[in-house]
Amino acid sequence: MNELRRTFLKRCSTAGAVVWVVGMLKPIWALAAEWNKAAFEASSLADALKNSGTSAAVDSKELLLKVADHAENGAVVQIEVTSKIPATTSIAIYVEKNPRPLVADMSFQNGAEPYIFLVTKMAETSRIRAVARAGGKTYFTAKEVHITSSGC
Amino acid sequence: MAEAIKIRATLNGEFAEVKARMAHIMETGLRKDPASGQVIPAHFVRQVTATLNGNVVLDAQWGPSVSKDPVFGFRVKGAKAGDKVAIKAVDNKGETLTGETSVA
Amino acid sequence: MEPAQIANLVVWCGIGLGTLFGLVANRCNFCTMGAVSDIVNMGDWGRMRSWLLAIAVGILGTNLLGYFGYLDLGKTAYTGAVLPWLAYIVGGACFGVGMTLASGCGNKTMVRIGSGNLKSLVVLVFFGLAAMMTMKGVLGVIRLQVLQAPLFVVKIESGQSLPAILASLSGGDLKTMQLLSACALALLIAIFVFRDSDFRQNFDNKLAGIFIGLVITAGWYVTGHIGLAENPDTLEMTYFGTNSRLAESMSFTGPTAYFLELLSYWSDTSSRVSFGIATLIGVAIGSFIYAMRSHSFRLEHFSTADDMLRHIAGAVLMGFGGVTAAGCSIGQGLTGVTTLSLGSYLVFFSIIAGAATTMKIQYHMMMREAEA
Repeated sequence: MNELRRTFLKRCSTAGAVVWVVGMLKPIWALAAEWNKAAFEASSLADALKNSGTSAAVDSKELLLKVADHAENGAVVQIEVTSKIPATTSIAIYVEKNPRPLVADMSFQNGAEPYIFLVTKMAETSRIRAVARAGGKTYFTAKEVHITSSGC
Repeated sequence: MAEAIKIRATLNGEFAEVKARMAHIMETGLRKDPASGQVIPAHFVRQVTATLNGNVVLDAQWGPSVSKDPVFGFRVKGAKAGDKVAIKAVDNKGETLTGETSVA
Repeated sequence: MEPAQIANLVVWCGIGLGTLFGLVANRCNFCTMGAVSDIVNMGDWGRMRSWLLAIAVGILGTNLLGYFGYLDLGKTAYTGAVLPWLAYIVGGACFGVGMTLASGCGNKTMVRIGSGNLKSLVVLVFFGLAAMMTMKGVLGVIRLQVLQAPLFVVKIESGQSLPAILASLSGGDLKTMQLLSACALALLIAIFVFRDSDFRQNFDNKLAGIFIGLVITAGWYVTGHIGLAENPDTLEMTYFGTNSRLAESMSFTGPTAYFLELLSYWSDTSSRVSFGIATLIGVAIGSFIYAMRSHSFRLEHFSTADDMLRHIAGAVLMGFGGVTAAGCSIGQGLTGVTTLSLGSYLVFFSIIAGAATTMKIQYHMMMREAEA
């Protein structure tokens, strides 16, 4: 009887261990963060910031936002953001007057520099805001961009 | 079926500069078709993940404001020539695009 | 190569090609207006044959570039699907009238400036100003809302170049059509040109025709091949160095407007010297070099108020007409026709019609004055 129990228990724990190990082998892509629907579908800057948890961001001169003062074509506005704030883990971009202000939220890992280049659509002349998360705090910087023809 | 993402990865000092472009309509879901008056359904990339030699370096969430046929770029420190850069994009319909290149 | 380096190379080649064009045009007295006036006033087809020879050489050269993959003929301002025929006819005719009153088209104007002609300098400024007003300013309203109204625009899905139309009608291959139509047309034109024994013996006209045809071909090669590269910012294949962001060759209406704009907004960093502007300046330089070496440089001025008024009115008509017709006697009448675009041929004939009519009227007025 004891023999049977021992074998049974051994088999269960082995099976359990196998299931546990297989569970750990999640495809590397599945480690990506869940898409923040509430933030991306917000139609006002305030809501987008709130749903991203970055309403309390402070202005920082260490966050560098490079974008032209005048963009001829609102459909393709080139934006470059570099964060000189130590331990930056993510950078998000907002076009304040767009119908969907949150453009993108990008996280860095495994040696990626806190730098991003992205092209966005702008519906009208508006401020572009970059928000960085670093060391548990949030920072932002913004710049006004004038457009001649709308992109949305 | 995965379509190609065009990637250019060059070594610049001690980090790799990566620039990528993918073909995607990035439809916001807010536009109306002028002919039928119907709202054109949203169809845009939501998730972009980039890896260097299999390790995730960039994990990005995108919204519909990103431009059509989007171009984006990032930098990775400590990369060497020959390292593999791979990018995968998934849109709101679950369709994926992928691309791969080696650091030049 | 960096985009800035590619754009610079395209621009320097533009200066070079423009200089050669100006030198040869001055040396051989190449003139599209002169070509028409020689026929109307003297029955002499020499300079027209020279213009036609340049077109024949250009057609062959340009389409060979296309056939061998050095030039995407779909990527030019002349070969699109949109054909605003009324604008082309009215614009071409206005340009023809204007260049007659102003003593020469955009190219000839630059050649005369290189020779010291102050009248042409005045023409240049009014020409450029009128062109700017027609592109984005007050005259543009008439162009867009009346002449280019949807009622007067035809869309040709395949593109308006002859090879494209033939290919879509016959189901044949585009490149084959390019080769066939180019060779056929160039041969026909060449036969017509060389049938005349006077022309065969005229060195200047032959030189101008062949050389200028080659310059047009070279222009396409520079902007359409050398200037085509991947933009590192957008990872898209882009044409660097041109105002139109497409392949271009010799053209002087748009470039004159862009030149004045560049001088006015130099500090705006998005303004750059383009291929078009470079060729414009090059023509004046080339002409100047020839004028100095042949001791023919002379400052000339208006003789009467009437002379000045005619030149100014002509310049304004040239600016309006050239922009409305999407090109002048060189832009459409020499470069555009090498792409075998239907629109370009429409403009070509409209310009000649406008010029010839004006010359006939001028001749009759002169005869009446003489009799009085």
